[in-house]
Amino acid sequence: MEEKRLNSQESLELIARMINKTKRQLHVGQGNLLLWWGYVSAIVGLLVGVSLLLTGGNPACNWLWFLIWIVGGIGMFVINRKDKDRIEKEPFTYVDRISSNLWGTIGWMFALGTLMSIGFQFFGKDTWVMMLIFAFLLAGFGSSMQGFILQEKSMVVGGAFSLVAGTFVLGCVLSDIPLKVWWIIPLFILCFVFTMIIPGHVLNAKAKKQC
Amino acid sequence: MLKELNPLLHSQLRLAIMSILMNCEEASFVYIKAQTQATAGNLSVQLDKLVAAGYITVEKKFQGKKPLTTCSVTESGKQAFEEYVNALRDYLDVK
Repeated sequence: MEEKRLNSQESLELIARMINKTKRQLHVGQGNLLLWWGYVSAIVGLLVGVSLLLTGGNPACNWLWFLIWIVGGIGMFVINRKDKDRIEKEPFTYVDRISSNLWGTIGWMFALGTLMSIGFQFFGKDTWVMMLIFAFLLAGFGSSMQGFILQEKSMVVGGAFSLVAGTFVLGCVLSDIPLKVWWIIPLFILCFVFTMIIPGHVLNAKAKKQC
Repeated sequence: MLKELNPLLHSQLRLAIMSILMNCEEASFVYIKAQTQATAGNLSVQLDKLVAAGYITVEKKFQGKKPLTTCSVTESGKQAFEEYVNALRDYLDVK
C-alpha cells in the first residue's frame, strides 16, 4: 500500500475492506484453555470422589481440590506462553478485553472463596461445600456470559445447566439435605463437561473449519 | 456546502491504519504491516504523522525478550474518523 490520495468512493471501499479484514475470527486452539480447566476440574473431582469413597468420607480428602488450582494454574501458564506469538499476529479486540476481564473477575472471586473456606477450616468449620457451590455458580455464570459474548450457544446452555445445578445444591444445603458423594461428585463433573469441555471442543472445531 | 475531507485521513495508508484501529482495541505494528502490505519504513512514517496529530498512540513494550510495538486509536482519532466518514457520505450522497 502506498501513500496515495483517494477519491471518495475508493476511501469508502478501503474502509470496508479493512474492517472486513480485521473482523474477529476464531483462532486455532481458541477452546484450549476451556478444555484444560474443564478436564483438570473433572479429573480432580473424580479423584476427590474416589478418595472420599475409599476412606469412608475422610474430610481430609477435600484438600485434593487444591490440585485444580495447582495443576490448572501451571497448565494455563504454559498454554499462554505458547500462545504469546498470537498477540503480535492478531489484534486485541473489545471482545478480548471483555472476556479477559470477565474470567479475571471470576478467578479472583473464586480465589477469595477458597481463602475464606480455608479460614473457616481453621475454626473447625467444614466449609468445603462453599467452594463446590462457588465452582458451580461461578463457572456457570462465566461460561454463560462468555457464550453470549461469543454468540456460542453451547456455552450459554452449559453455563445455564451449571447455574441451575449450583442453585439446587445451595437449596439442599439450606434445607439440610445431605450432599452425598455418589451424586454431588458426578454432578460436579457433569457441570464441567457442559460448561467447559463440550464448548471447548465446539470452539476448536469451529476454528479449524474457519481457518 | 460540502465539508472538506480531513487531508490527514484522506490518504490510502493512513486511512487503512485508522480503519484497522477503529475496529479493535489495539493492534501490533506487525499485524498492521501485514494487513496493509506497506513497507516498514513507510508505515513508521505514517504512524508518526497520526501520532503527531493525536489520532493514535504507539506503545513500545517487550513480549518476553522480543520487542512489541502496539498502536491504538485515541478519542480524538475516533472523532476525526467519524467526521471523515460522515463527510464521505455527504460527498457520495449516501444516507
